[in-house]
This record gives sequence, C-alpha cells and structure tokens, in this order.
Amino acid sequence: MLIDLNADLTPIRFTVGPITQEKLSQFNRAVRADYSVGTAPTFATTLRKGEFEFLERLRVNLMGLLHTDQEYQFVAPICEGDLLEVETKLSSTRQKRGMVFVSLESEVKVGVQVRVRSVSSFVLRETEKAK
Amino acid sequence: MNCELNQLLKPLVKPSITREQLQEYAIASEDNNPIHLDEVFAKKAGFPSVIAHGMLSMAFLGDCLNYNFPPEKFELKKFSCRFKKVTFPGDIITSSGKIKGVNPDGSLIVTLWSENQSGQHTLEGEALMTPRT
Repeated sequence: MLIDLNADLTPIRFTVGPITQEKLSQFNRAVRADYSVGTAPTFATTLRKGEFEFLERLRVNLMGLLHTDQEYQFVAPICEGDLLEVETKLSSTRQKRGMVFVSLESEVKVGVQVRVRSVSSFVLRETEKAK
Repeated sequence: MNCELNQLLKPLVKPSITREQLQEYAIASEDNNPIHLDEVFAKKAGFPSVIAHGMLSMAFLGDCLNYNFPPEKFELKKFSCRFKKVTFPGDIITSSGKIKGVNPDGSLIVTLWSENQSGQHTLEGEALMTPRT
C-alpha cells in the first residue's frame, strides 16, 4: 500500500514567525528573484511543515512522491512582522492505475484574518525501491 | 503596461539551475526532500540525478508576473500551476505568459508556462491579477 489508510487525519496547526525581513530576503535570493521585493508570490511555500508532517503520517515513501499541482488564493499579503497561524488538512486521496493522488489544503491566518489559502497535490507512484 | 487580450508577457529567463541553488532553496523553503539534494536517493527513485523543486520553477513564474505586472500596480489574487515535467541542475528555465482574459472589472486572467532549454513545457499555470486603484 502506498499510503497508510489508518493514519491520523486530524488537521495540523502550527505557528510561524514573526516573519523577518531576513526570511523574506533569503527566499528571494534562493529563487534568484529579480523583480520580487518583499514577499515573493510563492513565499507561502515556506509554510508547508504541516504537509510534510501529513506525508509522514500517511507513511509516504518520498522516493515515489511527485508534486503535481499547486494552487494559491491570496486574500491579504503576508508581511514582515506577521505571526502566522497555519492549518493543514487532508482534502482528498484517490487511487488510479496503481498510483495514489493526495491533496492537502492549508489556510494561513494572522489572528482571524486569512492571508493565503493553498492546495498542494501529489502523486505517489511505486518505485523499484518502494515495492 | 497596456493590458490587451492575447498580449504576450515579456519572458523572463533565469540562470541555469545549480545543485548549490537547490540546497539554498531547500533551506529557504524548508523542503528538504532528498530527491532534490541526494544524488544516490534520486537515482534510486528512477531519475538520472537530483531533480529541482517544482516550486522553484513556480517561483520563477511568480517573478515573471512581478516583472510584467508590478506589485504596486497589480495585485495577485490567484496563482496555480501544474508541474508537467521535472527539471534538473543545468536546466535553463524561461517563464512566459499571455493575457487570456480581461474581465469587466479590469482583472486579468493570465495563462503561464515555463519551458526548458529544449522548448519543453515543464510547468503550466494561470494567474488572476487585479489592477490596484
């Protein structure tokens, strides 16, 4: 089985921040940003700790894991100084042709205000080592 | 910029992806999946070498959006991508796009794509931008 169907599916909540200028700049340097000053459009990818924890709970073999889709809805900008509260939950799993497709949804808030919603989708395929 | 239907964005070419960049990106993004960092692991997974984070290419596209739609004039509301093909160290990624729709409220639907040095699409996506008033 490519995932553990008995895994704990309780949403994962964690806090990140306060976001520093250095953290924003470190991301911009890593992606060789030429036109993104401050918060880059995909900075929210730094908030995927809950996704990795979910993949661990599901006992996913990273060797067979591929990121297939990513969606962001931006409600308000993430800014320096923000203390972000993130909730990640499993939104779907489905099997097709021996592969498993997993989607995880996250909501990033400051207090009660939503900043970003995201959906990350993955495919788990069997590899020689994973068999 | 003047925003017209079917208008092509100015493409943005990034320097060749390096293994050092993948390490740097792994630290910055906190995505330490060994498939991006460990040659032996990547080969066991069936790839000829480590593969770049798909989100790195999406970040390049995000920078292309900021290049064409300066954040002081436009607000990015939605941004989605499908990763079509893996990228490797040494790949040179060009980010491009086209205005696919102009809504009555002035918001723009932008089709996006990334291609490698062989012209293969590695990523396809869409963004919704609204002009700031």
